[in-house]
Amino acid sequence: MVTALIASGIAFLLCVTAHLFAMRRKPTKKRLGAMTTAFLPGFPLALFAVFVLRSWGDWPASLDGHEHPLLPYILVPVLHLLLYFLFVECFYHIERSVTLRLLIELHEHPRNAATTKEIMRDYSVDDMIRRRLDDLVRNRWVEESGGRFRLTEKGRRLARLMRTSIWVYQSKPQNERL
Amino acid sequence: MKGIILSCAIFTAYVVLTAIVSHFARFQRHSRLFIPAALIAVPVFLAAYRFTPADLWFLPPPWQAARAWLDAALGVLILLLNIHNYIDWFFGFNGGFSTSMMLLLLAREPKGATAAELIAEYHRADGTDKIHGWRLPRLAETGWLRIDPSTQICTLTDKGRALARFTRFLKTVLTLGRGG
Repeated sequence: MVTALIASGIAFLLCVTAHLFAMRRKPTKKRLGAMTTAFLPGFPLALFAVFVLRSWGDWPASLDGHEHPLLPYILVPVLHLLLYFLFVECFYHIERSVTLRLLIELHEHPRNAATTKEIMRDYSVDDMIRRRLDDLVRNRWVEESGGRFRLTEKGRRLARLMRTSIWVYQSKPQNERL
Repeated sequence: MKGIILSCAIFTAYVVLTAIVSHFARFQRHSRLFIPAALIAVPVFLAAYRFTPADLWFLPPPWQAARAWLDAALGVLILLLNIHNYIDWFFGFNGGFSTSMMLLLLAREPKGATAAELIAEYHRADGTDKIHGWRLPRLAETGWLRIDPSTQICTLTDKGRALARFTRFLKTVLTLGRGG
């Protein structure tokens, strides 16, 4: 178990570093793909790290005690997958959050203060929507023809799934919250 | 192994129960359900770990943890990571901006919508936009900023300023633009 934790930690740090380094050298708009590409080699890397750690004399294999030798090999992919999700989610929290962008806008405003109208003008809903439409079209959830946007087949399937989820949780989409 | 099995069992119960409670209690803010429920899930996991046998009635000795505290700690870690994934999925999926746009497009099938029609859906009749309209008062209510009632001037509180700086730092590390 200890070797699994150490191996997952090593693989996670290496994958994050590789991703950040790659994005500095060659930025891309397809960040999800880039993060996945950086994390995929982490699975064999973490398994290899378990192998190395367990064959490394008494330590740290001794920390695992009498546990089944396969246990760390089962744990490592699970932990790496969960850490990958954590990183991706934190990334999108920071990248997409309207709230965090609002706070930054206010912080970087010349007077460190702005009226609600100024905020709505400088960080307008129109821009938010157009940027998201671009993303949805680029990722083929939505297609555009003659200035009209329509869902693609996979977009329609996802939207139906979302509608079911919203019904289950009785939540409100963004456009119905006010 | 006991820690992982119990962690997955508690997580499954967490998902099912929060979905049922959400459906019937109709929360305005689901974070008021998910976060307290997560704070309850951890002690429930620890109690389950404490009061169940080391072999969990079926685990052979090699699959039992050498150190119970480490097994329990790993179980808590996996439980928290799973709950975080679930909450994040909920807010991204059910509360996401792109989600709401896709739902609007689904409702307007097969004609679809222009960008201007979609933009109009995010504005009230008085011109107030529905994104900032509820978010700014909510941020004031939760202490991230202040809104002067007479001038409508917004200023960050100390914790709002600290979060703005921290976010700016993270965006730099992650090579992000303004985003949002």
